[in-house]
Amino acid sequence: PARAHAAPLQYAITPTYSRPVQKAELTRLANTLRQVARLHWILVEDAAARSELVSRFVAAAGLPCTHLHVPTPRRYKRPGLPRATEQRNAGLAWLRQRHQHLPPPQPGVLFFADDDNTYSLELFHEMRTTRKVSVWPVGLVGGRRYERPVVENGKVVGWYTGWRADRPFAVDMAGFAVSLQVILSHPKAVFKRRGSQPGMQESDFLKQITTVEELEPKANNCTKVLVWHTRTEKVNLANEPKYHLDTVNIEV
Amino acid sequence: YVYSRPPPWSDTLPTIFVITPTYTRPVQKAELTRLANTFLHVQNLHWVVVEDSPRRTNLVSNLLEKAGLNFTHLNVETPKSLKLGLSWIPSHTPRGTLQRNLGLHWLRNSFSNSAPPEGVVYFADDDNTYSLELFEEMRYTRRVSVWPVAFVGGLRYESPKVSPAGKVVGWKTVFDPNRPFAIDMAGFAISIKLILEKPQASFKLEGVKGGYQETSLLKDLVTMDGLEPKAANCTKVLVWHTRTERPTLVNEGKRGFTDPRVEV
Repeated sequence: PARAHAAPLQYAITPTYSRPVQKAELTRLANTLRQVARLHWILVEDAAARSELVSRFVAAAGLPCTHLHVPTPRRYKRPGLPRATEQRNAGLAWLRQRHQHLPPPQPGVLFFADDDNTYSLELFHEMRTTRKVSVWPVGLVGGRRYERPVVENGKVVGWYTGWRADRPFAVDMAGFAVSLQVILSHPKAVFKRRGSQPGMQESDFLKQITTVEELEPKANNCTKVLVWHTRTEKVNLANEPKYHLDTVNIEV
Repeated sequence: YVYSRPPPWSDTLPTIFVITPTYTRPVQKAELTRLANTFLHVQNLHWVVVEDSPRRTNLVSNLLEKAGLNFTHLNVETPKSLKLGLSWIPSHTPRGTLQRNLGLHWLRNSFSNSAPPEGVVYFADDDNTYSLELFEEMRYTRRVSVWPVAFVGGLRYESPKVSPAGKVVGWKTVFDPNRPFAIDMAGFAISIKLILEKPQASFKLEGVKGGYQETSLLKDLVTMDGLEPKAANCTKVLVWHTRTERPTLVNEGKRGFTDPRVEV
């Protein structure tokens, strides 16, 4: 049908890395994203090359998908340092490269969807009307049931958060979306490593592209939780044999 | 906001009854949400959600109303202890047992007077991960079908052992492979016909050793050589026994910091 070729309304940038639950996480995230019309998935592996597992997965994913990869430099793989910086930036770079030469305003909204979070379908509907940068509550983050922007008269006036409420933008990666045009109008805005403290990634990024006054509150003036910062337990592989491996190689 | 709809119901496709026990905890709504997002893809799926709760909660009721799926909402509370004469003994009923049995009971009641549809029953815990392919594999089960499950028994996956002739002859597990059915709850489906044929078959409530819950039901339904291997003779992993971390709510404090009226 003609609609199948309409421009995407939403872009989800998902960094992903190899570990036992990777395929499971991507599977259930894809099951959600496939319910959203005109969503383009940008999947960025933390890897030096495209893995077979993700390549096979993308081929059968059932939604428009761009498969990128960029490895995190070893010196940045320490606990406490921000993660997925290079991967998110690779997603931004791909979008810019694709659209930079096209006349404004380019339609579309992008957001960063980590592969272990949980998204309600209503969230995608809420973010669709983003003009510049929109924000909403996130469940199960910051040591609380939820964190949220505090809204008065339709404007964000503060942050209801369990961790460092003094941040200029005290919002989790799962708590905002940016219009594609804003990304294109700020070609140098990227997630930073140098000078960025852990936990400041979102704030350092957003202050390059917007102000608190400009933020558009969604989810009923930021009173509904439509996304949850779920985390999956590390699997117990204690019984995997070191020797006498199975005769077949089965992907999990 | 108009929620999604599943594919239109078909009169010729077997029905998949998915029985999901669930209980209140911070991640519950998230788990049920992402499950619903998966089930919305599956044609002729009927979701039987059974809360471990004295009453059906608003959270689950509202979620099911909005999800757009065919559903039945039940509840039964697992007692913390059982009354035996004048004394109370701690209940050792494994989690989910009463709820799964209530799901089976509802199914048997629903079709006691009417012709049952073609279809299967599948027990889907609310924190596992399911591929869409899995549901198509189980849909045409004649008696009991089985397949591998990831992340159980301390392995990448456990699997039935299938002979070249396509029969299940054992279990590829490290933990107690000599169990009559060394298989996880997520690794089998039972035809409705068989459930109705054997009305006494249910999960045993007490005295069940770790890892024997599934056996306590299946032994009354089928023998090993009657099992139907799916997922390419049990060589593909289509379901993962994922578990979700308990969120650290350290900043809620003793009396709770966030507004309890904001549902999470």
